[in-house]
Amino acid sequence: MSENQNPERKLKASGLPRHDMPEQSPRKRAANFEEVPYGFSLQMAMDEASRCLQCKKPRCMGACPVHIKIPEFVADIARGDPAAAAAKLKTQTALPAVCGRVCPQETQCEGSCVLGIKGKPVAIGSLERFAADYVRLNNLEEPPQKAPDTGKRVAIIGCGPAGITAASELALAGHEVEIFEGLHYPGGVLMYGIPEFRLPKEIVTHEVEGLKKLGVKIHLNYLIGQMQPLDELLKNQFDAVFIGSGAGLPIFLGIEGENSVGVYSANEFLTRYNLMKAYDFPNFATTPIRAKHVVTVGGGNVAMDSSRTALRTGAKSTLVYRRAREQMPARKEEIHHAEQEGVNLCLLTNPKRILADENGRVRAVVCAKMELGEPDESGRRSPVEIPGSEFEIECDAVVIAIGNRPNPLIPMTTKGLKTTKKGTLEVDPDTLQTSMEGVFAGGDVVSGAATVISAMGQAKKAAASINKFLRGEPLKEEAPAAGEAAKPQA
Amino acid sequence: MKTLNLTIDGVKVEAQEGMTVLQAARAAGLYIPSLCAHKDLSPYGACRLCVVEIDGLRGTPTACTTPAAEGMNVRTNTPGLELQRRHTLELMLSGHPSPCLTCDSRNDCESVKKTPAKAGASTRCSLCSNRPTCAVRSVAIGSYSRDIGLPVTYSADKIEKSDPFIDRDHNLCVLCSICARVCEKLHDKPAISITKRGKDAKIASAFGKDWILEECTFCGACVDECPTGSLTDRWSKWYGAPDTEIESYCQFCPKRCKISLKIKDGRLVSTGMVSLDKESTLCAIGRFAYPQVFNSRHRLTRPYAKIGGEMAPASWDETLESAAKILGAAGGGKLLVISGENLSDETRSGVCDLIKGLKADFVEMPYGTTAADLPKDVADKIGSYDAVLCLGNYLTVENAKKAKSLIAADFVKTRAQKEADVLIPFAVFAETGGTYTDKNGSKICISAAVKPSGMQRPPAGILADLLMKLNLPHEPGFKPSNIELKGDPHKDKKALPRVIYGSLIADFVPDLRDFGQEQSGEYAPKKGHLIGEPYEILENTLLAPNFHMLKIKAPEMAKYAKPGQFAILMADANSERSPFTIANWDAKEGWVKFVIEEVGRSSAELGAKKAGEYLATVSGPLGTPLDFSQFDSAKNILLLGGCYGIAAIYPLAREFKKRGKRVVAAIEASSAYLLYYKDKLREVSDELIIKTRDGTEGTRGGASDVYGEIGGDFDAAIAIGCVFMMKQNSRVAKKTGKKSLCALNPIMVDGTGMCGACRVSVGGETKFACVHGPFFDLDKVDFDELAKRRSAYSVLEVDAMPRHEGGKCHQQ
Repeated sequence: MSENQNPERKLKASGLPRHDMPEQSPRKRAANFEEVPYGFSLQMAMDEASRCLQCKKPRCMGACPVHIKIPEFVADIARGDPAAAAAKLKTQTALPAVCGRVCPQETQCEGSCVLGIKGKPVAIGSLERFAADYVRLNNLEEPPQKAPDTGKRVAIIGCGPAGITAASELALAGHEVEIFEGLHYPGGVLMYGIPEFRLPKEIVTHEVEGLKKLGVKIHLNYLIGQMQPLDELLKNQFDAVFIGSGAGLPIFLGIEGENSVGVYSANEFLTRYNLMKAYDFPNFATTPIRAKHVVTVGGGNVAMDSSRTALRTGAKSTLVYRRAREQMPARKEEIHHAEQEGVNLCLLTNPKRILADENGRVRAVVCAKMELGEPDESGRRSPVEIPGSEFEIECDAVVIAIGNRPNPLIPMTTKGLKTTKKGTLEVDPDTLQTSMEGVFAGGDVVSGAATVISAMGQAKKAAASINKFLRGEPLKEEAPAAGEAAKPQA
Repeated sequence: MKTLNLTIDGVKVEAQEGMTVLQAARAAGLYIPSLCAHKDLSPYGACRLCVVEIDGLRGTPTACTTPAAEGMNVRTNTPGLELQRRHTLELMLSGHPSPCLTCDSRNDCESVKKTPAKAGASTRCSLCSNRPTCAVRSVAIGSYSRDIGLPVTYSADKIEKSDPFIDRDHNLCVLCSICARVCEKLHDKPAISITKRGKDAKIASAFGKDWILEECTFCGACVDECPTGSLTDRWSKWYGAPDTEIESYCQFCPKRCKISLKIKDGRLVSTGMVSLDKESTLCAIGRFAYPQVFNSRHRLTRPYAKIGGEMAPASWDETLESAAKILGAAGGGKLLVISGENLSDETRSGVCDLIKGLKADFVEMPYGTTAADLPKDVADKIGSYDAVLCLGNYLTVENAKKAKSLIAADFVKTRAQKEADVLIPFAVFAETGGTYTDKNGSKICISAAVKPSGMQRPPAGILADLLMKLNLPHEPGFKPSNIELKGDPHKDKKALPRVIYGSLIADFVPDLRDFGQEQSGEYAPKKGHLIGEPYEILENTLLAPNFHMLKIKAPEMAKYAKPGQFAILMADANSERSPFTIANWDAKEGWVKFVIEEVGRSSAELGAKKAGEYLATVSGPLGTPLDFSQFDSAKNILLLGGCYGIAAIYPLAREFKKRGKRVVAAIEASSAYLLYYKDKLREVSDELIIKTRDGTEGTRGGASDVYGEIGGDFDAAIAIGCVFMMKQNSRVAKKTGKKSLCALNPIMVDGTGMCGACRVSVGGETKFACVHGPFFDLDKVDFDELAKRRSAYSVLEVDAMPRHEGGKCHQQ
């Protein structure tokens, strides 16, 4: 990277304005399901990459849950060699095209970028995305180097971000890997949850194909527990198991009228449009939700995805969140995009009950206005209802996006697998081994509903533990690689 | 005309000479039941329901064939006549699937099933699209006969779907012959005749030819006049009876026939003749193509304009402003306007004003032409204009690309619109009012009858706004052009209109391929694709009408399936995920069996799959298997099954039997011909009780009657069937105080607990049927809520029927 370490160039580069990806105008994209940003051209990417100062102690790397060697791949792009950048990325993350799109870079790599102190950080996410897209679209991908066969077999439960990462890591380490996926299509939340306009499904398909090229076998429509139980996997020649079954049990509000026709979990709403392609109804048979006004409840990324999807179905879209904007767990960029497109944010507003007509169909949500009170244990100021502030929002669909609990199917069908009160799996925070020997876990099934990248980070860590386990090494001989423990996230 | 005086049932009635007794009675508001009499057809006397007694006449003449005469004394409802009528009706109903008509629970059942199930075959009223308007039903319910003394037969004739538009279900035909008589009245060469005699008699095409090759012109009058669900309009039948009918003029061709628009909930669902006479017949396009064109999902529903260099949805004002700017800059021979002859006078006069005002070049495309027909000299010059305004689909993608600036207006989306700088959606036909003048100068006026799609506006209004924005005069007055009709679409299927505003009609009505009409490929549907291996179908057997037994190769599922579990099936990659109970499995041989009842698109797609073909997805076993340990102390188990539940109780019975219980299986069906799995259930139960709603097999009634009949001689019960059946059972089960369960089958998407679509209220708590169920306490389930949640998509389910996309529905 010597050519980039010219101090003069550094100075010049840091003074350059950040390049942002061109994107569809809000009014255009609010009417289609196509991806919002168009992506960098090679020249733009090179210009942006050359802003990187190539810090000796790169803070960005430390902030990355999968510890991508960011300055190195950025330097490759600056040099005009995105293929080299992509090859590097691929050794550190199984899903660069995905991470570049859906990671909360502003709180991770880009949030730690030195340039961000005085100006704007390097657009690391956009560059990662660019490198991955470039090699995919130009057919320049090189098969990654696999370690020699170890003769060990690993079963992976769930083909979402965690499962794909673990599978890729373990296959590269020379193990024979088989994934068991419950749905009819691999990808997990990348397929059913995150909408096309944030993550085109062809990318997920492509990544899964890459996994297959590594020799990973994927069993679809295969629910461990309902079919082969977990302990049988261990008996049936699998030497280790990784559980990455995600958080797929929607939480509802528990308020009156919630079972009315027209009240959906965000999972159902998004699955209909993403996995089942209801936007192409009746070509695709799954029925779309044809509402005039959709009210989404929640303030996270899933709520943003739901409210923006609702907009794209042609509905008026309102988002109801009980705390203030500052407390919204969604990425700033998502909130910004949603507002730009025309989602109406109704903050400090709490749904109290849902009203239905004589046919049991939603006609309104009764809400109360809230104000922020004292901070609670999580440090967030908890909302308190303003007495007498109840009002009705007329609507014909309500989407509940207030979070998910881990899917209970595996713990329900596996004796000896310990869970926490929240339904997550109990794991050793350093090794990610569960209460069963040889069974590891990572992603939302451990942390509760969190992000794609944190799931991938855990999966990578679990894969490292599995490697040790399969080699017969003690799991806890040394401190964990980068100290990123599996903290449960709210 | 002479006035006659009659007495009917003691009432003095006046009639005109030439009237029949039936007409005289009806004119006086007196009811005599009849099926074959039709106000526009001559008396026929086929159904024999209108029998009367007349003083001085022998026997019981039919009122419809007996001329009214002065001083006649007519009796219509003596006990003898009632008996005779009931016998006639019974004879008719013994061949017409009618268990719902004699069912004691009909009203209750239909209050749960508000719309009929969209089944392949109409085996009873609750699966019949004609339920809301059926004449047989109203006559039968009117002269309510609880029992049919004759053996009931369901001949299970295949539903004829050989032509593009009409479903012909001979099982429902009562041989009133109205269709044949209507056809004879309207056409010089009638196409319908009755073949064979006696019980084999059947409505058929003359000489049994294919309907398409036949004389049949598809005027649809037979469908509209059929008093039963025998002849139906395949596309619109499940929408139910229209709530509004508005007279208008058809605009598919210059003939401009009068047409009746049938509207339901603001949506055009069908069209028909304005009166039943030769002059009012419609061609196949007029009768059958309208709703498919109007409701096409390819309609262009919002205006677009380039704002900031990018095409994006825009307001009408922004759009017209952009269009005016382009037009204004292209005056003086630098503008080309292309439109079509089939627009209204108002629109065409607007176009004239525009071309006059801007000195534009103008091409008016004749009726029936498309983008491919644009004259070559015009096409070659497109690039030389500063702007092109095109009303209708008259530019190929290639020609559109040549335009420096393009304003495209159309009623549907087209590929060429990608090149446009402004996109204007316009409303068509009866969505807009308008005047039309033919070459002889005679005018017709139509009024707007149907709401336009989305933000569409009438083209005349759009042009008027553009003229105003451009400060150009809008002068009334318009010279009609020389539109000629080529061939007669009423007689010759080759002369049927093929084009609407430059787009091929077959693009929106795919089944017109059967008439030799081509499609442009513009709207070729996208196929879903799957990554995994498909599942082979080893067998597909029709157990009873609409009930298919699918045996599928699925070794892993077979290995782990347990009694009471279900699986999610998808026929193709584009299908829905739908849950079905696992009826049987064999771990050694590696197969699973499902009994699939056709009630809509998903089940129809599954039912249509043949052995050797594949299913896209078979996912399961799902759900919590039945916990048999809860029945350890029970000795006698009562299992109740209806519809798909008959198959669903089979694995339970087998397991209970294995565990040494005494098993009583009680199954119910509307009629004997809907029962299946009897022998299989006998193998695994100690007693099989059969209940039919019409009493044609076993004893009359439903499964819920069994609780009482066996005198409480059971320790626990499980009921599986439709929501109505389980609801009925829950009422009885509550009273017995014994352990009673049900297995629920609500709408699901994933079936693994992820979506929550399947939530049900059980004892006031919300449960997910897919992971907490499917078994719940029968008396604790809120079945009314379940019924509402199950019908969440009742209208969209009609839209989803496969006829819309791939053309012909492939049921049965």
